[in-house]
Amino acid sequence: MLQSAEARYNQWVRDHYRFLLRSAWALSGSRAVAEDVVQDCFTSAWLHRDQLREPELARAWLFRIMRRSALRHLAPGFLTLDVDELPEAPAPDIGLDDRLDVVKALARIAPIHREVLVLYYFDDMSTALMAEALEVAPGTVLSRLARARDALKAALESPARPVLRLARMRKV
Amino acid sequence: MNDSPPPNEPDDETAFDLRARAELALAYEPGQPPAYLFRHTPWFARRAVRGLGAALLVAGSAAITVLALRPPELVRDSIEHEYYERTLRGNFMDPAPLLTQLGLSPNQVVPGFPQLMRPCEIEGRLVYHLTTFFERGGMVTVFAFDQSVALKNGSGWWNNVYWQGVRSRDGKPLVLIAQQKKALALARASLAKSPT
Repeated sequence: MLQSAEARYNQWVRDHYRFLLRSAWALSGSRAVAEDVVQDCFTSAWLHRDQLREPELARAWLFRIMRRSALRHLAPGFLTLDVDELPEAPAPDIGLDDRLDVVKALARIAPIHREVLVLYYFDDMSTALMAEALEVAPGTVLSRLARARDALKAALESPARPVLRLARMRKV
Repeated sequence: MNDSPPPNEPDDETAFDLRARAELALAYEPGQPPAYLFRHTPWFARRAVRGLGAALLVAGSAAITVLALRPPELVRDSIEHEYYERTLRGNFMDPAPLLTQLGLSPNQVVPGFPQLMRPCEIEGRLVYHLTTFFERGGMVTVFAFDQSVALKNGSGWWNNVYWQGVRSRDGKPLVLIAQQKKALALARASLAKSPT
């Protein structure tokens, strides 16, 4: 059934808003920034809506737009994290001391690793879609994911010491 | 530290992945999309409606222009009559009654070089049809109505010809039709009552 452009766009908002906001929030560490980023993302998506040829790639395409918007909003302080902005909900089945360990650890790893983990843990995207979202080859996604998981584990095991890799967002 | 192998595919879940996924899933609660993100274009602002509105505006303007240019029915019928008899030539009547109808003396010479003189019928009325050639202006067709008709003085361009409604020297209505405005002016000077 043919949808009007407006109906298609509204469906994107309904289907992908939550994923995009969580991703932007995890990438930026700030909900307020994430809301701005996602708003920018949807504005840009509406303006360039004709560029999306395959509807099944909508989520990866929107993530790509969001990621670029996040880069614009966050650079050069992308690596910083405002602890006050951390989500308050505790993780399930863990003690008080372990509250949000993964969240804090995620905030301390390099953005290039953070974004691949966001896609992997928030959406369980296929490698092909992650490659589309991150604008890299599928093989690169797998190797980056492996390194990102290692970095997250390292950050969890040494919570006091920041594990900031100065890797750039656009480099492997 | 790295006791679990790196995943070959993203679905190679480990206990660590399950924990990370569970914590992150609850850590960031985005809520529902805010209303301002949705687009609700009012019906009158939609592109198709605006296009239709613009088309109606153009069509309306064109219709108004056409109606403004449209001459009275008697003139339109005269123009149509002239079109069908444009190539007809000959003198099919005595010039005297024609000259009388044109408000000229019956003994006078017909103005220009007469091409066609004949009694015709337009809208059921008897009309004297004169087509004459003015050397400095071109061909002009004059319709002189036998009976009184409601025709105001006026002029315009319709159906690819210039037309003018004037009064003869004795006040009878005449319709002049020509393809060139200059010819119309010459015919008016010869036939019409002076503005004084």
